[in-house]
Amino acid sequence: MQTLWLLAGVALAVALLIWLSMRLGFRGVPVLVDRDEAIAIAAEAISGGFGAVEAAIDRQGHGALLRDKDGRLAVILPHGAHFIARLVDVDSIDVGDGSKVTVRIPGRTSSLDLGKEAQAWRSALARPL
Amino acid sequence: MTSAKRHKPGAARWQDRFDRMDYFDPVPLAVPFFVLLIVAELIWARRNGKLRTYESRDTAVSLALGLGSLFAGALFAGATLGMLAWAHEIGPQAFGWAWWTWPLCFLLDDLAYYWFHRCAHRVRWFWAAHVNHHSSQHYNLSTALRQSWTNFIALSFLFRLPLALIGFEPGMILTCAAFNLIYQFWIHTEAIGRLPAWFEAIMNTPSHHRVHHATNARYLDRNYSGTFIIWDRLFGTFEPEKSGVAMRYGLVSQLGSFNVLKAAFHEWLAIGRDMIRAPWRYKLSYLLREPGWSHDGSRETSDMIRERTK
Repeated sequence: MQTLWLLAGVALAVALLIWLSMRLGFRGVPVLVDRDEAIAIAAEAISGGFGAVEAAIDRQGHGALLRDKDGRLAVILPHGAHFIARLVDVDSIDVGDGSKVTVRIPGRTSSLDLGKEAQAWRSALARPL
Repeated sequence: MTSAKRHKPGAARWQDRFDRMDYFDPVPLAVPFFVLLIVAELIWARRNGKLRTYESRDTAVSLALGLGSLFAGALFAGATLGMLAWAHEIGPQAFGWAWWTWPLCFLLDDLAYYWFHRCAHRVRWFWAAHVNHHSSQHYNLSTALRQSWTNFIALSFLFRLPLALIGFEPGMILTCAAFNLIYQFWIHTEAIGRLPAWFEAIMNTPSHHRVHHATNARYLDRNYSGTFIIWDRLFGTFEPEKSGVAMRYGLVSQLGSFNVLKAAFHEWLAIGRDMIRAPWRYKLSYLLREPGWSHDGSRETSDMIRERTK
């Protein structure tokens, strides 16, 4: 019985801490400062490294699409207050008529607004590598 | 009668010892201090504009894993005690509860922890149980509570059996292990910079442990110690925190999920997938070699990353 009370108390404390972290505003979306930051993140976070030669940043800084000299594609997406980077294949990327690009990675579909660069990427992705 | 003669004089059979066994667990008493210190760190981060120190969903995952580890610990405590009691019984001697055995037990338990922790980073089987502690991209006091649910299943208790075997009381070992765990709570913070040199030389500190949690190439697989940093200095795995280097925390390939179950079990599932797909001769290597190893060289171990980024 004492153990149950202890676990109940801990569960209550956990709920309180989560509420407090939300109340204090710890739920921001990270913003990429520039292309160089996106290139640096991809270089560090992708297994084997990633030397991007092209990069397009989301207009709000909430992600980026990158390509290396071998034609490999990578995406940077926000995850909580930080970013994650993943290699993606061409089939995982849909470029619509406008500025939006949809990217699918396992367990997640995200949208990037690449502005004017979206259509250039559309053409580039349509070309055989 | 015959069975009793096989045991040390004055020692009860290990089953009897297990039945009578109790130990002082300081962790429940420490929980209120954990909570208060997390509140203090949240307020510190807010007041200093360090809004990337915490992320509420990340904190929720860390605390849920901590809560779950309490359940897992309670579930397997009996079995762990039983294994320690058995090892203690078959050992050649029993030190008893003399005062001098406490500091010695704590020191040797910390050494056992070093080797457990080192294996937890260098053997994928143990890494599967330990990885969730590293799966946050944040480094704060809530990260300290991101504890494993599968330590017992991974047989992590094996590292403490030698202590029982050489004569330390099982209850004493578990109490020392609990104090070691409590010590490691406060070092999971960016709020504390460097401490006095004498302290940094002997003790594990926030600075040393930030290195351990960092994914910067030079910091990978370094600073495994629990309480005393001397083990890393002794066994060649020490790396000091370098001023002016931005720390990146988490995993080499970030988890990218706030799903608690995924955080707890993803590496076990990945091992299963790899073993199914691998040719027969490589299957065990996916279980026993270092994280990142692959038979076709398509992935990177921490040594390979360090070499590539030299």
